[in-house]
Amino acid sequence: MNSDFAKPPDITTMEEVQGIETENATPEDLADAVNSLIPLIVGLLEFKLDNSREGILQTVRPVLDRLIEERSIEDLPKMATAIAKILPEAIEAEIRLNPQAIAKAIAPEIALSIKEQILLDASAISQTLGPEMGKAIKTQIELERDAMVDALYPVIGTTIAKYMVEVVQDINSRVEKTLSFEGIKRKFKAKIQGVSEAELIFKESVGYRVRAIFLIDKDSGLVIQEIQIPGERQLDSDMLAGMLTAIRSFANDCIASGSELDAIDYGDWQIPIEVAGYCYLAVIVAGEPPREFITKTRRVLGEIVMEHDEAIQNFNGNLADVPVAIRTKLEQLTEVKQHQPQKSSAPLLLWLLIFLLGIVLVPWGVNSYRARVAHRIEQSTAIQLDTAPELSVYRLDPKVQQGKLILQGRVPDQYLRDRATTIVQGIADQNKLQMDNQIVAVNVPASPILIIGEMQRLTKLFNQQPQISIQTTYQPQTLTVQGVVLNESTRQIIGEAFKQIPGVEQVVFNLDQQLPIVKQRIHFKSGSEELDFADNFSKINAVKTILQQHPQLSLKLVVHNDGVGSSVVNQRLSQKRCQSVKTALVARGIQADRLITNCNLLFSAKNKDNGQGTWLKRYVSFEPFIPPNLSE
Amino acid sequence: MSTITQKICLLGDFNVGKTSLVRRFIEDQFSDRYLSTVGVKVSRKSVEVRTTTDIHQLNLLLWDLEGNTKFKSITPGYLKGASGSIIVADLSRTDTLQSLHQHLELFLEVNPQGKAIIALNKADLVPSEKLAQLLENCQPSNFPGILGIYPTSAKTGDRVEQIFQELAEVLISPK
Repeated sequence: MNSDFAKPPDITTMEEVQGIETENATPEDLADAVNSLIPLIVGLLEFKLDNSREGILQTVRPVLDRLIEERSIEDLPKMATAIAKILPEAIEAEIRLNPQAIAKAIAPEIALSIKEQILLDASAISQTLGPEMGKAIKTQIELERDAMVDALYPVIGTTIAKYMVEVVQDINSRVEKTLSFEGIKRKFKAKIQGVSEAELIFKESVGYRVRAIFLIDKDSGLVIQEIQIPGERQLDSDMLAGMLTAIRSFANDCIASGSELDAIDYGDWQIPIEVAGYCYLAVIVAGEPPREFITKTRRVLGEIVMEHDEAIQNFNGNLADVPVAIRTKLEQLTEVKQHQPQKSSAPLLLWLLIFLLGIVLVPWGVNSYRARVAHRIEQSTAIQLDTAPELSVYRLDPKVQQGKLILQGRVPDQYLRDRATTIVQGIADQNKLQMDNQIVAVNVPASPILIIGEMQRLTKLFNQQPQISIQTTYQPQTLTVQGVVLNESTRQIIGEAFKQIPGVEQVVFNLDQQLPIVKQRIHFKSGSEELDFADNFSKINAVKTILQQHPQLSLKLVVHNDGVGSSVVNQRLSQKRCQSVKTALVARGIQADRLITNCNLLFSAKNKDNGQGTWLKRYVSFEPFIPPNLSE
Repeated sequence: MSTITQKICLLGDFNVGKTSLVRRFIEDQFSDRYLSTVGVKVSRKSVEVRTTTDIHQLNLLLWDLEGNTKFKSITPGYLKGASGSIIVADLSRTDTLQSLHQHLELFLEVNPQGKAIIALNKADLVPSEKLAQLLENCQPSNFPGILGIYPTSAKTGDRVEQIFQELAEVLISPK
């Protein structure tokens, strides 16, 4: 403390002040006076402070307020300057001493002042707070992890949910296509790679996209050619290529000399690297590029190196010298990224396969179905034909072809053909098929056995009629009728009847209209009933021949006597003689019933005297007749 | 006007000011704080080079390599394909001046056609009379195949732009 201030203040000065006040001076005068007095007052206050703090406060308080107020009105800048100097320190001191109070004082205005500042300079606040935000969030996470999760969930949760919904939809559609070509391919892939199918589906759903492609000089790290996908944030190719090259060099030199760095993974990004010749290819890909893409990258790089190796080797940093073809080649890789061609190529392949299979299978299916139906119809037709007894012996082949029911085979006549037609027509109508009857009615030569049988039957039938005695013989196509038919009209009927026999073309008649005359007489010795064979042998044989020639013919044996002797004797002799002739004929194979003996009647020769003696009077004669049919 | 990109390496012992030279050249800034470069840092700056016939845009890709120490030499792989290099020494440390030869040889070994320029950095730290003496010891004739030797100061920016520009002009001119 200054020694001047320690002294008691000058009494006269005090009095002067009081004097001014009492003399009712103008406020200006007063202020001037006060100004000049300030050092004194300060000194006084300091002194007084030491002695009586309370007293001095009491004295100064009423005047100090006014003093500052008036001073502020009078010269605001000066006052501000005066206070400004001590203000920071004052605040600092106050914060140190009484932080709560300061906080309380400033608090209501902070929000407002920040707002005001944002209005004045929008970026200033964010620039100020920006760097601290990261730390602040980090700290907050350390302190209250759950609260942060809750706070961020509505934003991040929705984003993730939205993304996941899309992915899940995609997964769904892929799962639905499990049995598609792609699905089956995926199943195989999963088995081969030993990963779950779900993982593969997820990878496919998330997909990948090429962001940029760089062809980089292997040594210098200069970009020879670059392709960046429009719409993406453009990458600084030079820097990126430089750093990639540095990383490669580092890896080659320090980690594994001789081997190559083939990919860099960075979060969701992948940078597959393919090296060839004097350059390498780095592709910046978002997501998981499939194996095929890497293979394609390799192929494209191979082609570039093959074709432009010299240009790449001589690359001096001038992009103008780089062949345009390289760019064209690299653009092939961006095409893949669309994922679309690849996606569409699989279904295309699938459709092609289905189409090809269709070409083969559909006609085959239709054909085999038709064949089955046709076979069924054929079978039922065959069965129906078989059940008709008259047709069952003939081989008839029903065939279904091009909407037609074709019937092939041979039958002996038109009747059987019509019969088959009727049966088959029914089936054809039922199946809406056209009937094509190709059955041939063949003119079969009738069986000789049947003809002869029929001929014999007719012959027998005619022979049962009176006045008819016929025999028939059959040589192929010609039927010969022999015998006796007394009536001309009957002969015509017989002819017609035989012509009706199938196989008989011609009927030849060899008929007699009269009964054959049997003029033979068998003579006997007088009084003898014995047949004199020496005499009558030829006659008996002749009779036998006649009978054999006319099987229908019967003979009545008529006996004559010479009238010598008693009638009793003659009658007995006549009977015996009749019997002898009959016996002789039967002995020669003539049926007994064809020979009727009527020997009870006595026929005596009337001409007794014709000079020939009695020998001629004793004989048996024959009367031919056709006996009525006994069987009927 | 054509745009050409060239790779330039900065070589030298550790803490000679390679990174500072690059920073001064690219950002025109300087910091006293020493940050050791790990591996390599790649930066880029475009410069215009006027020849008698044309104006060329030259993209300089600056490979600021990790300074070598007696424990660790620089990776030769980083030098490959460089067209030019700036070999840096610290005027205040004579041992760094002595290893200039070694760096130059290494660079020319990897890039026989490469152009090199020597920057004697931290010239601001050396009193002018001592500087003259030091420069006398480092004559261009002692370093076959270099473009020149220049005292530089990344701190003041003295001759920094100049060395890069000179290198750029040499690189653009037909060989």
